[in-house]
Amino acid sequence: MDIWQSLILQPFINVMLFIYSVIGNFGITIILFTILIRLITHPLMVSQIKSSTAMQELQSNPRWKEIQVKYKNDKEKLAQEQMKLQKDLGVNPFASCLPLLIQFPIIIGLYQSLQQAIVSSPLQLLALQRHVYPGFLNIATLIPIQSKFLWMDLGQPERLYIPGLSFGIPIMAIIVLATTWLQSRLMQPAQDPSNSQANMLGGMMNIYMPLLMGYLGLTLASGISLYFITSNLVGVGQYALLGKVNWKNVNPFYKPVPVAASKNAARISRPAPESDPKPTVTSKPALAAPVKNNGAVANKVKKANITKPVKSGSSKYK
Amino acid sequence: MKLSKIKWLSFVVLGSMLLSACSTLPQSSWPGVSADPQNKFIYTAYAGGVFKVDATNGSMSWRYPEKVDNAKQFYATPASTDTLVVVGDYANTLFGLDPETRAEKWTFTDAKDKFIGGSLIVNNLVLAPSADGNLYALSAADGKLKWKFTSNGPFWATPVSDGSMVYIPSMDHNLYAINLEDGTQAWKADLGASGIYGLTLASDGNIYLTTLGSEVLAITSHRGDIVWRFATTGSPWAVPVFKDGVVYVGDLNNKIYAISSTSGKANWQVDATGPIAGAPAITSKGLVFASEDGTVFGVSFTGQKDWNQTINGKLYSAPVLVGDTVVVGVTSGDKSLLLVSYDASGKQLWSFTVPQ
Repeated sequence: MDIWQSLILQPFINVMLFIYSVIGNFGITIILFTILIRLITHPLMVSQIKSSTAMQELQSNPRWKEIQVKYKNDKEKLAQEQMKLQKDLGVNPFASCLPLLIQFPIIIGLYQSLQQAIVSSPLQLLALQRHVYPGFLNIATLIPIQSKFLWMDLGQPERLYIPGLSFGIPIMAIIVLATTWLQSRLMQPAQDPSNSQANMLGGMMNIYMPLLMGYLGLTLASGISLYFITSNLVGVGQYALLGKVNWKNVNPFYKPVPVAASKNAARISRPAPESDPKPTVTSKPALAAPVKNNGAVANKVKKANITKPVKSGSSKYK
Repeated sequence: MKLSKIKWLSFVVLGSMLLSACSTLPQSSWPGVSADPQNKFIYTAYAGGVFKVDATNGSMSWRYPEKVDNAKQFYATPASTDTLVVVGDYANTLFGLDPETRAEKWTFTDAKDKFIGGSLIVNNLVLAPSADGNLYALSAADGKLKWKFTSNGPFWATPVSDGSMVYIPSMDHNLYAINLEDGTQAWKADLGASGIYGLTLASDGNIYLTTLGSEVLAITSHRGDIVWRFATTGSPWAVPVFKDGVVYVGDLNNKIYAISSTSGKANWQVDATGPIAGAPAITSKGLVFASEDGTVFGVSFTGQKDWNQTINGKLYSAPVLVGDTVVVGVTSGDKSLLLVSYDASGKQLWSFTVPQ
């Protein structure tokens, strides 16, 4: 038995079957087990969100934009300056990858353990028997796993047959598609209409990912679809708890305003100091001033740069 | 812009492939192997095809379907008469084929789940157990449904019959005796655990079977009374075989048992080199077992190991006696090796690989 099976797959399968042995309903077992795993990996998700937010905010930092323009013809120098700025502002570009990398095998393990627990063939049952810890669970009392949940057989692709219709409606695949779309829209950060490439990529992600997941929901066992749906909804819930959900992204009447324009508008409308009667449009925000202070001040500036500058613009989309 | 779209499409295609690869195991089961009534041919069902192979030299007579169709995956042991071969697939369809031409005589598509257990042909009825929990009785002539019997769990086992009654264990922990005539239940016996992989109706009037509860059971065929229970150290997947008052069975804990059919006590037990999932073949010289680690070996009726041979592949299928030879089905065999034939003393006669 390899490390993957010993460390991930086997514990997952045993915990899942333990939940099933208590609950006696495999559909609810899938829901509870998915929630449990998402809760366990929640700190990793928080860490990943924080890091990726910091990276996003870094990219809208005027100093970042400035060096991109300044060194656009010198890639090496550009990379050096970007690294220097990241160091100055205390942003680690890999900090958002690590939690994701740790979560990835857990998610794959969850998916595989679900597949293996919904036994539908002799080799699968043989494998499941070997995964169960002796003395922890009695496989003889667990098998057959009752795979019926609501109108579904969790081991089979789902179709709902309505009297009068000659074909089955793939309700679960439709819900998988809808919740995946909802999740990707809600978790998408505020768009800057001036950044057409990023918007295009985001738009494609919002189209292709739900379609891909919907297709998987159509063809795979409905137990897997149930996992996809639960995972999507729990993911939205986690983002909502962290205040990272962009509800306006699912509002069909909402039109984003370019970040630059909105920033300028915000600055123009800000009450001007009495000594200067004219409205001032600053070409370089104060927060982007070079950090040459002592440590305490520099830290304040770093924090401000990472968490504040986008606020006036991004608040438009929240 | 175009390049980005291509990148994204490539990502989606690759993602689909990756997830699809994750979604299916390489194999779902092992080859179902059986001999034709004349002991001249072997029928074997494995993955994308059903093969008819000459038992004397291992040459292939035909394969069904002629070209590999990934939608059709076959693992259930084929049942045959002189005029019909019946085999079910994992896409819920049962096929009635012509043994000479492999032409489809009929198909039955009412099942809602896979055909894992092999069918039984008796009294012009095809008895086809399905994982949807139904035992379907069809006319052997045209595949029309005569009756069906429903249990509370999937049927994975191959049924047996004495000509008036059909016996089959279900994963709902019961053994059922069903009237062959009309499909009504005669009796059922609580096994205490799922009956997975078949049973033996012995000449002493008892039924011998194994369960996931690590037990071998002897049950009377006329009333369903449990005569004895024998606990094994590992899970016994193999169908027990009966000869001269002794029941022989192997388990997944590398043990082979010879159990007295009258007392239910072990006469002897020996160690195998690996887990045993298939029933032994009974030859004139003794028993032939196949273990998961690829070892085929002979054991005398007194528990002495006679010979052993090694195959590059995993062995879960029960060795099948065809005349004087034993044929073993190979799972994930090296270079598509599917069948190997031995004589009673362990000398390899021929092998059959799936033609590419």
